[in-house]
Amino acid sequence: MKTILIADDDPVMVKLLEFTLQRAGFGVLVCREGLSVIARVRAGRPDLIVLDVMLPGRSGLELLRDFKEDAELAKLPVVVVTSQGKNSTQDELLAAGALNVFTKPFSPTMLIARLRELLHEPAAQG
Amino acid sequence: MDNFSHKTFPMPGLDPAEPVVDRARLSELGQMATPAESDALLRELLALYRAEAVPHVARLAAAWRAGDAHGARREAHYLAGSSANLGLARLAAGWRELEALAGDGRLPVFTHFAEMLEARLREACAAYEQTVAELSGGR
Repeated sequence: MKTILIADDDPVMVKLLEFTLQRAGFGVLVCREGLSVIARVRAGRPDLIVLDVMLPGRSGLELLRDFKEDAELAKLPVVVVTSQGKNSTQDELLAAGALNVFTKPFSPTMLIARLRELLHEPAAQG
Repeated sequence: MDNFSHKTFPMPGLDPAEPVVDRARLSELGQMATPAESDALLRELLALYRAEAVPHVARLAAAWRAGDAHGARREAHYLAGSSANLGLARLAAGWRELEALAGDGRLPVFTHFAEMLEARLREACAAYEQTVAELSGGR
């Protein structure tokens, strides 16, 4: 089973993602603030991260840059969710290593489809 | 001192351009669960939202009153994202307006600011509950 780390401080978002990802057959880890994300990644070894931009402690953008500078974490796929819709912000996130940027509110179905692609998992039946 | 009855200020609950609740969004969220679980999921999301939104609204009002533009922007940003996720479209638009004002460093003084924000939050949550009941009745 592939495992996804949700790094988000919004409990609604966490619940929604947790529910959706578990239903889709993924294991889920959760981190609600930025400073402990890297430790959580090292301990839990997720296959992918769904990362919020405005995390307390350390922002999503800062974390993307941290990952990039760390040989062990540089190749970990990261999808970013944000309520900032500005193209400049999205460009910055993509340049920092995000594979996708989803602007809230996004479709959970589309997110799952993209995560499956990134993790080379077959699409859900039906 | 401005007042929130001022029609040109697009505050939550006063801007008719957005629906109070985005029914399509609620349907989409509900469809993530089985029909039997859908109501429970939607109600749990609202309970989580409300529990978190109330202190964020209080912090937003306090930051606004104190002239703390950075703090006000951060709180409004959080509320905008969370409200949009839940389909509280008009409220999300209102928080975005406040976020934009704070982002520009403009924190105009409004009468009954905290009370107005709390009232808009209550109205939106009530409309959400009503929409969940309607969607449930239609299944």
